[in-house]
Amino acid sequence: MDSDAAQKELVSDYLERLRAAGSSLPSTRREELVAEVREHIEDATRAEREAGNTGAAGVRNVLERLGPPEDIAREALEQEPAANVHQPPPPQNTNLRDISTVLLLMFGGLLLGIGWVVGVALLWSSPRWQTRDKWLATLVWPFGYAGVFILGGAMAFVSTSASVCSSSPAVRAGAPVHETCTESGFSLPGWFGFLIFLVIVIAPVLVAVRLLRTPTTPAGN
Amino acid sequence: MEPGDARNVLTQLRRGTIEYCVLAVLAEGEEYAFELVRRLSAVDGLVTSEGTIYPLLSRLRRDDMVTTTWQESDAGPPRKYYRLTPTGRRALSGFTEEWTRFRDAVDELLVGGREPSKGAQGGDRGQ
Repeated sequence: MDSDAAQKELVSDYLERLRAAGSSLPSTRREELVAEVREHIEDATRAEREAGNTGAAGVRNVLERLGPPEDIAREALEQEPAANVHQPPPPQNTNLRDISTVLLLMFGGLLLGIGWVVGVALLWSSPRWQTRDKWLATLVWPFGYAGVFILGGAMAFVSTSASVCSSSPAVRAGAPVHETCTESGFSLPGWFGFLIFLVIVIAPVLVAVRLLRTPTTPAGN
Repeated sequence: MEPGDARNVLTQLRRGTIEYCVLAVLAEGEEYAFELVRRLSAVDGLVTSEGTIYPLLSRLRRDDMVTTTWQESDAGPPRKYYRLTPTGRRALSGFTEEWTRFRDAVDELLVGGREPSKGAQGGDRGQ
C-alpha cells in the first residue's frame, strides 16, 4: 500500500534524525531511546487509528506531538551524566601533568637524577602515549640533558687524559712558550663532534614536540 | 518586561516540575510509558514535546526514583512498566510540601497583591 509505505518512511526518517542528533550519546543509551520512541509511535499511531485518524495524517499527528527529534536528543544529552557523553577532545589538550613529564625527562636529570626517574615514571604511567613513544622518550633521553653533560664530561676527561703535553725548557729563558701536545688514541674530526652535539641537543626537543603533539585520546581507540 | 520573559519562566517551571508530575502519576500505580506520557499530555500546558519524557524517565530510573519491569500485553510485544521506588516516593512527598508552600506564597502576592493596587493610583485611600 502506498500510504503504508509513506507512513513507514515518515517514521524511519524521524528515528534516523533522532539517532543522528543523539550521536554523542553512549550507543546502548541511544538505541534504547530510539526503541522507546519507536514503541511510542506504534502505540500512539494505533490510538490515532482508533480515533479515526488513519494513514499518514495520523502518523504526522503523533510525530508532531513527540516534538522535533533534536529536542529529544538534546534532553537526553542533558540528562546523561557528563562522563558518559562522548565529546570530541580539543586538539591540543595538553595538561600540566604531560608538560611536567616532558620537562622532567629533559631537565630532571639535573636534579640529582631523581627528576628524570620521576619523569620516566610519569611517562610510563600515562595513558596518553603508546609504548613505542614511551620507549623512544626513555632511550633518547637517558637522564635528559644531564646525560649530555655526563657524556660531554666523560669525553673531555678522555681527551685530557689521552693528550700528553710537554713544555719545552725554553720557558725559563723567557722565550715564547712552545707547548707540544701529542694526542694518543683516536680523534674525531670537528664536524663529526658538532653533528653529535646537534643530534644530542636537538633529538630531545624533537621527541618533546612529538610527545606534546600526540592527541590526548590514545590513537588506538 | 517583555512577554517573552513570562514564557521563559514558565518553560523553566515546566522543566523543573515535570519530573515530580511523572512521580505523581506513578504514585497512583505502575504505568507503561505511552500511557504515562498520554496522561501527562492531557494536562494543559505541561508537556510541549512528548518525546522529551523518555530521557527524563531514563534519568529517573538511574537515580533510583523509578524501576521498570517488562510485562506481557494483550496487544503486541511486552511493555516496559514504570513503578515508583521508596526513594521516588520520598522525593515526591518532599517536593509536594515545598511546592505547596511556594505556590501559596506566590499566590498570596500575586492574587492578594492585586487588591490594594486598585486604590494605589490615587494614593488617597482613607483606611
